[in-house]
Amino acid sequence: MNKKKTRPLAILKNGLLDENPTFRLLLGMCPTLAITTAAINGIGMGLAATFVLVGSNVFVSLLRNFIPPKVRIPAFVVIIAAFVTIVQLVLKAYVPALDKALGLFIPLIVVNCIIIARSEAFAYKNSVGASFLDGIGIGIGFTIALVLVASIREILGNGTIFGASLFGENFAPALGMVMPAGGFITLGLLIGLINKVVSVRQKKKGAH
Amino acid sequence: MKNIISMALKLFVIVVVAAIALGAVNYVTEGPIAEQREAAATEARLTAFPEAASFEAVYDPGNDAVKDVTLESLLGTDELLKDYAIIKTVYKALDESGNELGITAGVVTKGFNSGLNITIGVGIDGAIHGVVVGDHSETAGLGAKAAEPEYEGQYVGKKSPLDVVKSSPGDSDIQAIAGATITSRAVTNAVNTVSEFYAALTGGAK
Repeated sequence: MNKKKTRPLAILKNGLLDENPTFRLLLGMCPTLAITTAAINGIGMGLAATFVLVGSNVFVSLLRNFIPPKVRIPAFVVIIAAFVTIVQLVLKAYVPALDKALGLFIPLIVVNCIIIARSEAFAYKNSVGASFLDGIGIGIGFTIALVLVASIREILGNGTIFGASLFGENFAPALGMVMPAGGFITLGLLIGLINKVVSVRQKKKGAH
Repeated sequence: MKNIISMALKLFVIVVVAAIALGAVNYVTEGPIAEQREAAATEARLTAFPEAASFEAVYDPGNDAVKDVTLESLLGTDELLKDYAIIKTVYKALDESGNELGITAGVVTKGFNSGLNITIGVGIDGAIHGVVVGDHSETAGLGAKAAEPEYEGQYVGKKSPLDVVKSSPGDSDIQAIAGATITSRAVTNAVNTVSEFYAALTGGAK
């Protein structure tokens, strides 16, 4: 695991599959279940979270020698909350279009445990550059996971993908899929599938 | 002991710096945010009443020109219908020569969640000119569909009182969003309330 530090690509890739926040680390479940009713929400939430994740990772990494270990968690919380609020205010004031698209998700990000988990598990122990890459990797992994879950739910529950109708008039959507129950079912099945893929991959690696 | 003090001090420094940064950003962005909000409200009024050339504030506690006007004083009564409490702003829609075409009302009501912002345009004949669902926290994919033109468009041209039905809507019916009847009802009730209010307002003037 220590090799990661020297290989930027490995840090990036890490967040996509092996440490995918949704499917492997099981972090940020609440926003995942709440917003994955439409694929476009997945992109909005994913991008907003990526942005905050990169920012908070870089800040925490910059301050990692200043923050005393025993009070690191309160320090992370303050840094993340301040960063998110500043981003929200600036978006509202100067980029209203983006605020309209992402504004809904930004307050949710403050309570997203992925952010604090990466501060704790990665940024506090690694260089600024590596933390930046980790933020991007985990963020993209989160985005892909959200879009995947949301696409399945939107296709089955609404008969559309990114708002475009797929099956025409006669398709009767399974409304339950966009309800909370459908979220749990989709997420559970996907987590099982991804775990299988990862374990098969690891077995293959072991065989070599 | 020394350790604890140093720890507390460092945390204190972080908190103070964060607070100062937040204060500074808030100071800088306060003005532009208010402008954006005003621009969005004007745009919503125009979408809710596309025929209007200009709008004149009638009731808007946030607008200095009419800040002393209350809904009670507008209607000339002491007792206000409880339903009217959801009406937060009222603007007159005027044509190019200044004739009154109707009103737009900004409403904050409760759908499935609270904080459902709607701008509603009602013509002088009581017909709905437009309904715009603004900021809201309805369920994405269900109640949030109320903000789509497909749903909002249903109201145009209809007259209150409107009913919410689940299928085959008639002239005074609104087709509910599948799985989001509560949101559909909230929007429809708001439209009915504003229509009623406008009728009371014009009735009172005569």
